[in-house]
Parts: sequence; structure tokens; C-alpha cells
Amino acid sequence: MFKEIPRVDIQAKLTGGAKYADDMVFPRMVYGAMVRCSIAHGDILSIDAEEALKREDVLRVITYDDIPGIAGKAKERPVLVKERVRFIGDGIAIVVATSQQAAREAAAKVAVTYKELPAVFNPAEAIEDKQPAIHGVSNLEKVISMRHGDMEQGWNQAEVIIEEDVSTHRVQHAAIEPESAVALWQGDHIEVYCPPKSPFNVRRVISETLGLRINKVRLITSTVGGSFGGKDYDMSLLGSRVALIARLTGRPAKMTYNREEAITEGTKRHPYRMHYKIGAKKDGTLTGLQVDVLSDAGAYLSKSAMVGWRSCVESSGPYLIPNVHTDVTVAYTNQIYSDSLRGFGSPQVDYGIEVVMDKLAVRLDMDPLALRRKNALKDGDEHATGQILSGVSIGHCLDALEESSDYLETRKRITQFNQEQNGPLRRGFGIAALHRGEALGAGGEGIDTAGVNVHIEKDGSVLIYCGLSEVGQGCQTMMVRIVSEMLGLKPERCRVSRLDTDYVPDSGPTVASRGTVIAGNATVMAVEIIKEKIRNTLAQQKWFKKNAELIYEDEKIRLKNNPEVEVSFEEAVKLTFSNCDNLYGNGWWAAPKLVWNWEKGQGDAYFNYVYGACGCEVEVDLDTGKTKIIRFLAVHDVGTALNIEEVYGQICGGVAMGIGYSLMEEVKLRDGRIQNTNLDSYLLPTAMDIGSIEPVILQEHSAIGPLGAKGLGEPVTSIVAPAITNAISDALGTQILELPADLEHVLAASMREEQE
Amino acid sequence: MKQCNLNFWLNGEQTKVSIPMTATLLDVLRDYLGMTGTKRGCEIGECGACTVLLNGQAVNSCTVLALQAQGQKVETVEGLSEGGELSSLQQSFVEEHAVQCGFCTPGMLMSSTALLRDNKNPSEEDIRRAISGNLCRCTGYMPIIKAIKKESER
Repeated sequence: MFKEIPRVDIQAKLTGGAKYADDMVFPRMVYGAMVRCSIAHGDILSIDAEEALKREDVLRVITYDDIPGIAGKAKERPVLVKERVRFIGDGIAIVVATSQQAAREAAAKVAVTYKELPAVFNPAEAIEDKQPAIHGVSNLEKVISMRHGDMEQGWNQAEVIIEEDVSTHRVQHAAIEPESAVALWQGDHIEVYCPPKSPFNVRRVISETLGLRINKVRLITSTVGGSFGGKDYDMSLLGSRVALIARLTGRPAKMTYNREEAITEGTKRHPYRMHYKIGAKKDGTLTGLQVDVLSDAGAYLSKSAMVGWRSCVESSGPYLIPNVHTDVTVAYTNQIYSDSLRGFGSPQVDYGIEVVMDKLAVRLDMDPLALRRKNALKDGDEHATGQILSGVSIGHCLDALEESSDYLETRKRITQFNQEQNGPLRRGFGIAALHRGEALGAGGEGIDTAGVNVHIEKDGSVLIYCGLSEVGQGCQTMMVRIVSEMLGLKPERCRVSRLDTDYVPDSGPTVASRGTVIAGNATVMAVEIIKEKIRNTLAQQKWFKKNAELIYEDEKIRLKNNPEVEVSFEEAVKLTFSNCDNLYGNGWWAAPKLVWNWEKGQGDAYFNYVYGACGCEVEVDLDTGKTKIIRFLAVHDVGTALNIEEVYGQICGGVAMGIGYSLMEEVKLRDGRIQNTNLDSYLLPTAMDIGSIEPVILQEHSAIGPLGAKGLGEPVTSIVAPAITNAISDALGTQILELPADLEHVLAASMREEQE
Repeated sequence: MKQCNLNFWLNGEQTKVSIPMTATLLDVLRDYLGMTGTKRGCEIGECGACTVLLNGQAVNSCTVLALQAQGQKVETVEGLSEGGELSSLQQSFVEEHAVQCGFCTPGMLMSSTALLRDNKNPSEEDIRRAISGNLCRCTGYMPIIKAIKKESER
């Protein structure tokens, strides 16, 4: 087990020295403010900017016609709309002024007239005939399917079959840093400073907008104030808009959204409506599962198809089910569009299967943990995708959950607590289990790659360049851990460079909890190259024989068979450089090839799955519907923990985000307009709302991850909601099947139960 | 916009600046004095990223008019470490890994500074209450609570 090392970027973040995009100022800087569409569906008839342009502090108003390149690809949200608007928030014009305030005031003076079209807000209605089509001829974008086994057999073998409707709602990233970007036109190329989750996607979209080749766009990341799946396409648009200003005015430009804009424009998690049919024998053995999902993509495509694919693949949960039939239907509506949000399609289907498992347990009169254990996947089992699994640790996760929660005692204690209550308080305990595909999987075939460059400088210090973003998750510290472990160096020798797209290879998006595995493996490869160079130098200089086995430790290089023969790391570096060589290692790692049959939805979906299990104790006030989290246990198999304290922090953060998803967060829409556009009405969990979060960290070595590590960021959020609602259901004695479990829903369920 | 002069003590230094009368303390710190450690997150006093100390009390600088600080003492995150040396509280944040993206960190540090000056031995409940006006989306608060607890026990 590794001992912890401090975060590498922490000093600047603690002293106010870290530069986020909105902290950057350049001489003669101008500011942009957006004019956004105010109707849900229609065509622009006119844009009147005369009033705005009368102001002396306004430089110009940019519209679609000013875009040198393309405003956006088909079905994607445009940088600025040409004619058709599809949701309240589409960008229509950018007002450029000498101050932010002036730009905003002037933007409010730009008058837009529209020809309104009928709009559709309900995804089920949207895909019916004769509805207004948002793109092309139909609002049905895609149906993603998985067919495994024989459903007839699944239902014939079942002794109990239940069917349930389950739904999840729309939430958002709500990173504390609102989006901001700065751009400078440098005569023949554009330089953009911004906090991107996927810097190379942002760079590509900027190049398309400005009509420049990719090498004419340089993106330098500012400190990223949280992503969680956001700052991807949102940042592509903002980056393009600010780059347009800089290109067209020739002056340094900045655009920063206020919170209302960030919420109005920022992408959301897909709301799902799900229908489950599940069959089991009386002893709990699952025989069949049918899942029908309707996903609300909102007004533009974004990554909705990939999100739906992950949902489809993971729809059967961490269970062995021989017959599975899943369809995920992706539909357009005239609403804020959905995109990646921590979990990427997992939280919705994890919620679905886990609340249905509890409902089934009640029906079978079985303990929920026993039902899960009975069906939990094992090594050699056939997943619903047809893939034969290895490295399955769900059984160990369930064991750890039972032990850490003192499961039977807790159930007993809660029953007793509830029996003793005369007032409105009831306690409940709920659990949920998870499997989740690592990295992009077959749905992102060909782009699951990353590059990391490790430079040993002449004085023996180390500079690391990585193509994946540090968004707060600790990517930089992870790489320092790997380099320092492999070379036997103190972490303080290493520094990680700010990501600059001029200096690192395109490494794809920082998504899918893939940073540690993909970039970590690229780091390992870079270090291997460096080690090979050092070996050659030392062999040439007759320090060691060419094939000698070397050990790197304590800043020295030693002969394995004879540890007394040693050379200091710095000496080895000096020798190499004085020998006309260098110590630069360029690591490039690609995920293993996966074969997938899109028609049947069968094949090898992911090169590996990670596993977890959660337990939650709640106290519900039956009179108010208020749920208090008493204790949340989060068991996750993280592989080898590269930095245990960071793992702890990431689990706690993911759980807190899941608590928000379960109990209080909800983007409320009325006729396509978001009603709660700031943090007084879109509620995030505070330190008072989270109870006691207790991570339980299992470390089962990964065969593929760097030094045995596994991805973690998203699994931790994905099964929080079902554990909490199962606990609430346990307290109420009736199953809650929709999110959020806010005051109204819980109170309504409690009153229903009372009436029955 | 009518301009006026603001005279106040910023991190112990007498500071003079000409500002519009309606500027908030946050505007003045960030846009007029270049003190960008204090963050702008919601501008309605909900997220706490802009927390500073006004005469020792934690306030959301986005909802304080700058003129309210006339002649008063203001402390920001830039004033916590002396000569590049992290303060003991900041060191506790390092040891407990209480920082991820870092955007809420300055506000968290200021709220906990105010707490620990008033209450040398806060309970966990006191700590949670003291930072309940500071939203953090990364850490789940637990490492921050541990860091403040650790600092109070030093």
C-alpha cells in the first residue's frame, strides 16, 4: 500500500494564487455578453442591435453572419443560431463592450423578433406522429438495444414477476466556478485560456468556428474550478464565442457567465423514464429482465447516444441474469439539452435496477442483501452483453458492506427504534450495488487513448506533460505518484505542466473515470522509455551489464543481484545527457480493442468493470417528508489506491453529489424555461446535509490499470440515490420509485402508505 | 456612475481606491485591486466563494457594498500566509486533502478562520454550521471538516 502524498497543485489553491480564467486580465481587454433566445422553438425574423450600438462603450454586435467558419455541425448546438432556435437559451448574438457591465446592459437592449413554432416538452409525446420535429423529420434520435438469451424462457422459468415504472429527473453539474474564457488573437493564430474538461474537443470546435486549421488554435488551460462532466461542449461554445470576439476585434477578449447564464445554458443529466419487468424463482434466482428506457436528450444531440449506450450495457446491474432485453430510446425535446454528467448514463439505470431489486425482495420476502448476494456476478460469469467476466469483486464489496454496516444489528436496532417511536420520526436502512464499465468502452472505440510526456531535466528534476485535464480530481498528483514510485524519486522532484494543446498530443476527453487508467498507463510507458535510456547509458559506461536487473529506490539506481553497486539518479541523468542522449519519454497508451455487435448489443463492452456497494441509514420525518442522512457507507474497490487520502476525498465528494441528486437538486422547467437559475432555488447539499460519509476502500489489484489502480470518479456517485431511496422506503414501509425524494415526494408517499 | 473614494485596511495595509458608489466589496477586491483570490460564484450570497472577513466577521463580499467597508478592516485569503509560508490552518488543509478544484477553498479558509478565532474548541456541529454557507462540490465536506478539527486541536 502506498503512503499518501500531498496534492501537487495545492499551494496555489490555498493562497489565492491559482489563476482561474476569470482572474486573468490583459491590457485593452474587451468583454462579451450573450443575447439568448427567449422562446422554445421558432425562427428568427430580425435582430435589431441599433440601441446597443448607440452606446460609446459598445464596439460591435456579432451574429451568425460574422462567423468565418461553421457555427456548428448538424444536430449540435451552434455557437450562434442562424435562423432556427430550439430551446430557451440558444445563443443569438454577442455584444462586445469595454466592460463586462456595459456588455450586459447593451445585450439587454438587443431586440429579436421570431416566428414561433409549436414546441414539445414531453419526450413521450415528442416521438409520436405529427409532432413538430426538432431535427430532420422525427424527434426519435436512436434506439439502443441489448438482446441476451431468450425472454420467453426467462418468464417461463420465473415464479414471481413484477413490473414497475421508475423515473429520474434533470440535474446539473453546478461546479462552483461559472464558465469563463479569455482569448488573444496572435496575428496568425488564436490563443485561448479556459477551463476545459476536454481541451482537444474545445480546440477542434474553435478551429471549426474560426475556419482555422487545428494548429492555429492554441488552448492553454486555466485552473479548472470543477467539471463533473460539464465544461465540455459548453466550453467549446464559450471558447468559440470568445475566440470570435478576439479574432474580429483584434483585442484580448473575455467572457464570463454569471450563475444564471451558467444554469440557463449549462448541459444537464438526462431525465429517464424507465419500465422494468423482472422475473425470479422463489429462492431469489433471477431469470429474466426487460428494461425500456426513454431518455430526454433535450434540443441537441451532444453525447446522448453514447450515454444511452452505457445505460443499455449496464442495465442489468452487477447480477447474473441469463435473459435480458433492453431498449434505450433517445428523444429530442425543446428544452435545455442533456450531456455528460458524472456517471454518464449509469446513475439512472443503477437507480432503476436497485430500487426494483428492493421491491422484488419485498415480494419474495427476502432480505435485500441476501437477494443481491444470491445473484451477484462472479469470475467466469456471462454478463448480459455476452462478455465473460474476470476480476469481479462485487461479492467482496457486499461482504465489506455487511461487515462495515454491522448489517443485521443495524436492521435490528432500526426496527427497535421505530417500534419505540410515538412521534413522526422513522429510521430506515437501504443498500445498493454497482458494476460500472471502465473508461469509454466499445461505445468510444478508437478514441480511448492518451499521451503523457515525462521529461527528466539535466539537474534531475522531472517535468510531466499530460493530455488529460486536471479538473480537481487529482490527475496531476496521480502522475507524480507513478513517476516517483517507478523511478524511486521524491515526489517533490516532479512538477506537472499546465495543459497546453501546443505541447501535448490529443488525448481525448477527460471523462469516463478514465484519467487514472489511461493517462496513468501512458505515464508508465513514458517512464519505461526513460528507464531504457538510463539502462543504455549505464551499460555503455560499464556501470552495469546490459541485461542487468535494476532497482530504482531512494533516488538511487541499484543492481538487483548486488545492491551495493549503485549510482545516484542525478549522476545517471548527467551521464546520459553528456552522452548526446536525452531523457524524454513520450508515453502513448490505447485501451485494448473491443468487439461489439451494435445490432444485438452483444460483445465486449468494456475492458474491465469496477464494483461497489453502498449502505445508508436515514431518519424520515413522516409529518414533513424531511429526510436526514445519518450515515452513508460507500464501499468501492479502487484497485491499488495511488493516493489513499485523495481516494477518500473523491468518494466523499461523489457521495455528496449523489445526496443532492437524491434529496434536493432538480432543474425545474415550465414550458421549456428553467425556473430556478441560481443557488437560492437550485439547492446543493451543504455541510449540514451530508450526515456522516464513511468510505470503505477495497484494493483488489487491477490487471490492466497502472500499478494496479482502477477508475473511481463516477462509480461513487452512481449508486448513492438508490441506497438513499431504499432507506427511505424502508422507513416508510412503501417503495419510492422516482427521484428526487424531496419533501413533497416523501410526504406524499408517507400519506399514501397511511391511507392504505 | 458616481465615483467615490474608499479607504480601508486590507490585510493590514491601508488601501485607497476610487470606485463607483454601487460597487460591491467583491467587485472592488477583484476588479479594482486585482485581488482575485476571492471568487465570484453566484453573486447573491449563496455559494460563499467570495467570503472575506469584515472586522473579523465572515461575510459574503458579493452582498456587501464596498462603502460599508469604509475605514474598516478587511481580510482575504491573500492575507493568510505570510511571506509564502502557509499558515497552520492552510497546512491542515494540505494534510487532510481538503482541496480539490480549489474554487471554494478561499471562502472555506475565511469562514474557518473566523470560526477558530471565536471558538478555540469547536464541536463537529459547530464546524459544519460555520461552513454551511460555503458550497463545495468536490470534497463532500468531510476532508474540510477534518482539517478544521485538526487545526482546532493543534
